[in-house]
Amino acid sequence: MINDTNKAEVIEHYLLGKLDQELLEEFKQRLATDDQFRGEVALEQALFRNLQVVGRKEQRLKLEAFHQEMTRPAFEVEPDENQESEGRALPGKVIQFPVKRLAWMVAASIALIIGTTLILNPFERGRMSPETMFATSFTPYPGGEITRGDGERGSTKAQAFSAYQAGNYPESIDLFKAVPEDEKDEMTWFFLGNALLSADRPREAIDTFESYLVQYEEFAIEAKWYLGLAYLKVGEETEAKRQLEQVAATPDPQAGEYKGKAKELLNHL
Amino acid sequence: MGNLYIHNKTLEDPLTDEAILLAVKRHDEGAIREVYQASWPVILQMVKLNNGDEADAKDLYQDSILDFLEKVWQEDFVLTCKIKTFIYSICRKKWLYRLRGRRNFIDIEKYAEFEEPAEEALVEAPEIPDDEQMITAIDNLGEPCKSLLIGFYYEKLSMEQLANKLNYKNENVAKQQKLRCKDRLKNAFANLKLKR
Repeated sequence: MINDTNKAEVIEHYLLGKLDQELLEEFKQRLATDDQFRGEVALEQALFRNLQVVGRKEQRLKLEAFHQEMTRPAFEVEPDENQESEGRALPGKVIQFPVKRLAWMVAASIALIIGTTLILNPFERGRMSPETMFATSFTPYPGGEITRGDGERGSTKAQAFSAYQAGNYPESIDLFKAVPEDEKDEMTWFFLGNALLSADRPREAIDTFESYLVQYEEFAIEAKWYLGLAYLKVGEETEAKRQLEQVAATPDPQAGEYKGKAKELLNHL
Repeated sequence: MGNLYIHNKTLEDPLTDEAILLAVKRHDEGAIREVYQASWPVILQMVKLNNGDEADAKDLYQDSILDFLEKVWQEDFVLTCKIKTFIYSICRKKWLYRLRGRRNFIDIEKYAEFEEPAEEALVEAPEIPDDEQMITAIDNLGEPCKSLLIGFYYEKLSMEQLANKLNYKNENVAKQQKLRCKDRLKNAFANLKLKR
């Protein structure tokens, strides 16, 4: 029963499509016979409709921002050359940049935006999110010279390094894992960790680098650097800080590059 | 809310459609961004193959994503196909309508039949401000009233979600505030009528 007490709520339920059948019948009846009621409903309906318009307009602005984030070359699509002209559905071909190059482009763009922000507003220093710190600092360990002597040509290990070098990290992960146990060595684990981190699998990367550090030490500084980044990626700042402090404190003169980068990140933690 | 999505994505990568949909239902910006950016290349291709250009594609796509979000935000929404298929289906239907039989349509994906929501019958009454005036009044409403009313009526957020979002003590306070905001808006409409 519609009365003065529940009228506003009933109108709102009508507009939200939530009236039960019985009340809906009464509502329609009243709409047809009560001018004042019809005026109230019309006003509420117009208010509801125009709130939708404004809400949609504001949501569209957010979508536009997401659209602008997409780097055009990576999202450009060209039709397949074999496409028939009419009537048949054929898949198109997505032009993709090599993963590494794209990662560099994205990282460079983010770095530029953040760099500009920091220059324009130095008070922003120290407020970078762990995710942003990771995005601006991470590049996969260069794999160029490591493949030499790492297994026979065509072996699983050689294929794994080859896939890693090509930026095909998911494939390299599968291949590194498939290397026979007695052939898995320091490099296999180190690059597996890097491939996992590059493939956005930071939890597994953490486990791999932790295992590496228990068993090996040749790339210990590098492993700690990447471990620190992996912890940043998952938002565990305390653990990230612990690893980066060890990198920053290393007396190894060969590790100067990592020391500097770690100190820079620690400024933000 | 966005951070939670990133956290889950990290732990459970790759996220299932179901998980993404739940995040979109929660209005998680990270999930909405991911959905938006994931389907764009296919829709751009579809439109280009069917007599449109990139500007057409973007306009169509943003309209369709808004339809998608509005559907997902409905309480009773159930998705019966993949998110990408659903979005493609919305875009396909809209683009077919815009082409209106001018040429054969070239499909590049599977699609599901997408039903457009029925338009609600307009209740006619005199003395209602026109839409343009109302939109101006809503735009001039100020915060937090604007966010509260758009959150409730457009984004379909619950009173509890709105109380959290706008830092009200509880949902009853948010409900009271919503009534006050509506009254303010209606007063603004009444003033518009007086000025006419």
